[in-house]
Amino acid sequence: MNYEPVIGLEVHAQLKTQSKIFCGCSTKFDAKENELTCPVCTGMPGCLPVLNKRAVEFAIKMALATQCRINEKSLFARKHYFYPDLPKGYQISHYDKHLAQKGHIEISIGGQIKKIRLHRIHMEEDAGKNIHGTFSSYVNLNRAGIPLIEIVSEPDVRSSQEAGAYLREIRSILRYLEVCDGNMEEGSFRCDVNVSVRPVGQKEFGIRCEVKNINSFRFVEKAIEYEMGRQIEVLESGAKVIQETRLWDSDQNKTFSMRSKEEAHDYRYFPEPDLHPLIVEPHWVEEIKRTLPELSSEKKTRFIKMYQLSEYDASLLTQEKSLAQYFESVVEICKEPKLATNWILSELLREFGPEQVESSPITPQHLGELLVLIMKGTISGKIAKHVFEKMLQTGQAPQAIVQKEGLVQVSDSTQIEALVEEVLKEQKVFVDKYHAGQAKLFGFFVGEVMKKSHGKANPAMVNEFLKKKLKGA
Amino acid sequence: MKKLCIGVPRDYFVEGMQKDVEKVTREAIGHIKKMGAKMIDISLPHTEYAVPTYYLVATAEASSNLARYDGVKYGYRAKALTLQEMYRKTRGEGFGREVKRRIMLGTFVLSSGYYDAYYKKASQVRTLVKKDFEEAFRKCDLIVTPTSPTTAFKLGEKLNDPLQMYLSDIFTISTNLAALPGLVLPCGFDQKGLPVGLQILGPHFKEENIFHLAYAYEQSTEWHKRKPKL
Repeated sequence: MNYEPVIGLEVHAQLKTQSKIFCGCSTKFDAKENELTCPVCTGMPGCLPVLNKRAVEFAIKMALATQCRINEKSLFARKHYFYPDLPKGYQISHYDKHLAQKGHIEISIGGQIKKIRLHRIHMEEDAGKNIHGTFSSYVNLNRAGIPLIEIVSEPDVRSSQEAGAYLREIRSILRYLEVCDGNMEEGSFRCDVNVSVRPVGQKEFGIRCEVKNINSFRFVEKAIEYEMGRQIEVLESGAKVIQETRLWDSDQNKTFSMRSKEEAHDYRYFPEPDLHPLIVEPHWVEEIKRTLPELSSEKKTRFIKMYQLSEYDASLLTQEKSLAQYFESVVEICKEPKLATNWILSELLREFGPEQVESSPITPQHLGELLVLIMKGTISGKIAKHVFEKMLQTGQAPQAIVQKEGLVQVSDSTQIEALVEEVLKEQKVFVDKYHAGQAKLFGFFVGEVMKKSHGKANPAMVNEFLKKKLKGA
Repeated sequence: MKKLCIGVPRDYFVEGMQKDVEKVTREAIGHIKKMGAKMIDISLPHTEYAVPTYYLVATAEASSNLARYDGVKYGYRAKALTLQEMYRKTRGEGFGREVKRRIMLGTFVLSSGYYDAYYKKASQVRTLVKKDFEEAFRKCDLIVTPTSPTTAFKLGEKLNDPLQMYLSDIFTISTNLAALPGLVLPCGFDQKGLPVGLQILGPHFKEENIFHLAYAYEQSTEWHKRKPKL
């Protein structure tokens, strides 16, 4: 029998606010243990939470960017469980009256656009971290109280590739909005996956398992594939899938059972009496809407139209806002989108990840100027690659390098003619062979002339002279 | 004083109230009338539900509020070998009998399957209690009531009869449910010589009027200067 998976994803994204969600403590990542704590986020008796307005603004940005409906009134609740990293014994979280719901995003799968609906977006506080030593365990509460949004999809995802594409798109939107840095390794972007399988054609969903603890896109895809295989095997053997929470083990590439449905926590949610209902006034939402940047999908469409790029190139260039900005700055200087695209995609991205381009030693200004030098014929493409290497090492402007190293392209016809004649004289044997029908040798002559000129000869002119001379000879 | 209209809820003079407490309270109300305030009869019809409502809402919140006393980073921590044992012992040893009772009751009313019948229902009744007061304060500026149906009972006397004990709170907890400001001041003694209190309640942000009435009453009586015989 053929099976298909039904997948829903929950993303937890840490919001990049300066301070925590209910107190004034800093949210920076690499502080000393328990340095960024106060009586509020350590749950000392008698402390009251005060909601961080910026955190709400960030959450609304994400809700708007994903076409969610924003609720004018939402409620925070207490979610109870005993765990050492949860100082109050409960987590403050939106519960049944969420901040936003019914949104969607679009993903591109093999050139096809697919809409994935969002069930809701809600806000909550992060817990601390437990660190386990050999003989004892420790609690670090720096993370406790960092604002999170949870983005919950509808079960619209039908393959591990779609899940990967969905997560990448969510992450891209968060990064474009500058509300979350999307770092899976540091835990600022975490995801849980709900997977079930059903025979193709069946309407009802199968029994699902939730997989937690997945900290890279690759592992999400692997975990889904593992779960599909496992669940299909269970069904094929005539047994039933047990609804449970499973953990991904990236060393063994397996999921294993963490707790069954029966062992599920009773969180005893009730409305948080220490916080007023959250009222989001429509005019504030309108104000936030006006600050929304152009998102990657919009940018991609614009790049294709405005710069006549292929869809593939445009999607690569728009995967990061800073990369897209880099590209546009380069184009502004050189006015040659295709050339800029080639250099950024093949040269720059070979050296840097899309997120690092911003801080590369080669500024968009310098790269733009380098491309201008090529277009004006001051240097050849080949020399430009050498200059590019130097720019990487020194951070200097291309003109400075070209001048210092005397790399200006030779476009003087007398000089080039002389070089061509010299080569043809030296390679008499091959010239004869060429005339005997080995046309391929033309490239060899070009190479020899270039070598003689230390790469500086204008290739177009070399070609022209070679053709002329070979014909005449 | 003359401009104040004061409501006296008829629902607060309940069956089973200690006779001399009722008498002392009525005398105090008579005194306020003599001072020149306009007294009117009002009704707070959901008063009888206040105690059960309060003991659902308050225990629920208490069970949650007291979760932080887990021995991990604040207060008492019992010695134990595992985390579970540490939680159990810390809470078992650290909390007193009544606190444990409330934690268990509160945990129960929030539990899945019981929430709607208990906590949610109680929250709805709480709204009705609040509306009673809103209605009443349309007719009067302040409300005066007895503080408790009886004078003080002996320490620990009613621990084994929590329902009776909780009923002592019947007049004071509606205020908490409705989140209103209130003040209690001495207004006499019962036959055993135990003090009786008079309660003054006001609308939100009208503490000023409460203080005015309390001050005027205190200026014209001597009760606050007398101490019960111990």
